[in-house]
Amino acid sequence: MKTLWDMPRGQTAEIAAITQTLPQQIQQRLFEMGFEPGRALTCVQRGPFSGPVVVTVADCVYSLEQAIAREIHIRSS
Amino acid sequence: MKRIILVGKPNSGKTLLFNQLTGLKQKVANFPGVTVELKSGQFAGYQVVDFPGAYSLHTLSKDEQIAVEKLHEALLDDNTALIVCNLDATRLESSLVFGLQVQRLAKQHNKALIFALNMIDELGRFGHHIDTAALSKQLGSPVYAISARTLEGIAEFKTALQQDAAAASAIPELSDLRPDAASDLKQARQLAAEHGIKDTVVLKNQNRIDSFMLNSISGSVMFLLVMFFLFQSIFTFATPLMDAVESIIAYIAEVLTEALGPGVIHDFINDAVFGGLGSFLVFVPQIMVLTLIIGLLEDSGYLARAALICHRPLSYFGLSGRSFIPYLSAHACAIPAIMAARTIESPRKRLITMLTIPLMSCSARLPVYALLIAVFIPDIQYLGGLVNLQGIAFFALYFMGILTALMISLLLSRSDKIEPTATDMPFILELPTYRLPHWKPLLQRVLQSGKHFIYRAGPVIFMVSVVIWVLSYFPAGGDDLAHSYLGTIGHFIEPIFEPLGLDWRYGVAILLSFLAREVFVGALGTLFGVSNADENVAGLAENIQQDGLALGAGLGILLFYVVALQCVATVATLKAETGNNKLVIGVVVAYGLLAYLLAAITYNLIG
Ligand SMILES: Nc1nc2c(ncn2[C@@H]2O[C@H](COP(=O)(O)OP(=O)(O)OP(=O)(O)O)[C@@H](O)[C@H]2O)c(=O)[nH]1
Ligand SMILES: [Mg+2]
Repeated sequence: MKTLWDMPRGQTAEIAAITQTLPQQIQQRLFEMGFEPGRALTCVQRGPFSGPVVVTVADCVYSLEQAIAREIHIRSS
Repeated sequence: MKRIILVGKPNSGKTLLFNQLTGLKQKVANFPGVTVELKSGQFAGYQVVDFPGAYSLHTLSKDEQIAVEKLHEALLDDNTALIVCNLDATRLESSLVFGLQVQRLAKQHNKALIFALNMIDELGRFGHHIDTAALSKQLGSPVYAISARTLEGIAEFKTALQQDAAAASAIPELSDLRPDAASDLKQARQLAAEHGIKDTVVLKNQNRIDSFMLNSISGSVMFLLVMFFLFQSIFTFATPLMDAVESIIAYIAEVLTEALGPGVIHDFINDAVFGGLGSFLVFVPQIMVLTLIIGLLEDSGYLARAALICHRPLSYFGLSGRSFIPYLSAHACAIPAIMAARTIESPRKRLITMLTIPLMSCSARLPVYALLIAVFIPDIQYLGGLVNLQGIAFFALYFMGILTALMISLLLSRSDKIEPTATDMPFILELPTYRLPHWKPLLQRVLQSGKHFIYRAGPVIFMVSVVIWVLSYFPAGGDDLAHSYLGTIGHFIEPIFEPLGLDWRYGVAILLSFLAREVFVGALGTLFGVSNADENVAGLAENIQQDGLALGAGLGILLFYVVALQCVATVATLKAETGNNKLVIGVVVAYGLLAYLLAAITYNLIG
């Protein structure tokens, strides 16, 4: 399945799932931040030199490093 | 005294509101995680407490942990009269996620709670209006629209604050609104969809700027330019101001000493007061320029972007992108920077960041750098004055500090002694809106930094100057420094500094600078003042040039000051924040030895 890390710049997609094996507190935080299945997210920018990816979800812009962006699964909407 | 506490999402304007209420000047800046400890002030007979920001009651970083722990304590405390939950009106959903969690807690503890809907001015600029009456009804707690920046609605808010704190009318009634925590989240989303402004409107500008600022090529170029400008400007902008201060001090010295006529008093005023204290005051403009530039960066919102850009490279050294902000602010002073490391998500990376922060060249080193650069580096301009050779030398010294910090970080991160058991939290950072500087508080901060610099080191330098002067003036009356009391003491310690190519005068200055690094300049200023009679009081650099200092020895001193941890307050803060005295002492000793070694090697290589 594709993840947030694979998204090209400017693309919008729908969140499919968050990896269940992530530590509980991180899952909880992602959920509260708006990373919940069914919601839309947009990749604003790929960080330079495979640095953190920049993404809009809900009303915020977050940057997430690869290790966590790979755990957010998406499907095209 | 009854208490009003101020909580909310990071970067939502809590501290600016707090400052407006209490008249204090706590640090406000445009990135999440500015406030990392509780701060209190007074408003209308209440104690107001500003909390660190938190995204959720389920915490990830140390600053959030403190906020939530203290919130729980406050809820149990009878003195807590009112909870003010600050919301960012332009980011209603994410503000309400935490807001509704707090509201539920408040209800459970039977505490009054109101919402401050802050940043209403920005909302107005987008032409959006929030119906606070309706929102308040749906939330079951009062909502007040305010702007802590333009002061819109603040007068009404102050009145309401006193009323709601006095009466318990603001106790939320939510039993019939929302059954459980999961529905809080849903409610936050619904309310934001109904009342909030569309994210595409708010984020449009920000994302457009970011597509340039965070682009691989333009973003990297921007980053390097900003950093170069930062360090170069400390030099370029400050030089004319410093020259001005120097001539003023020299002028006052001349007038005053002339009026006094020759004698011991004349010599004392000239050498100890003007030579010692004067050569230190010259650097005040530089500290202020540094504060101004860092402040501009902090207000703009660029720092969060810089942290992002640095994340990958810093990860390689065992650090986080979030280490960037403490590292940068450490160039002003290490102590707040060590505190700021609380926002670093991973405990391991936080510890490494804290231990290496003292290697950043804080403003106390500026006088030492500036003095020795003026001695050795000619004042040559390139590109029509835009770039300056002395400025480049400054840049190189700052860079040395950063490089050393990275190397030590790499070493520490490979060691399994550093928090081996802690789970690593991932790097997640919110990017704030770009904002124009908030000039008034910024300029106040700049002035404050100058004052603080004088108050902190001034008395020490003055005292040291007086003691040095007395010890070096007598018994010979200033004619024979080598045989003064100080000269005799100095010869004892000379062997320590011989490998560095330094005579006892430099040795005394270096040892005394463990009281405060700036003392180096003050002490040398006094010593050269005594031996050079009356010429050139504030022009210490020229005195050193005439006296002759070997290039290798001078560079050695510079490297020594880059690396050595000479600040007692920094050590104390490190101990408190790490809770590991052994480790901290180890680091202090290691930095000291490294500094000495580097200086000795440099002297022996260059001579
Ligand atoms: N336009 C506008 N900007 C504001 C307002 N209130 C605060 N700001 C800006 O928002 C940024 C964050 O303000 P702070 O007061 O530091 O926010 P905080 O909630 O204390 O942040 P943390 O301490 O990091 O949790 C600063 O750049 C402020 O100048 C407001 O009402 N209007
Ligand atoms: Mg704050």
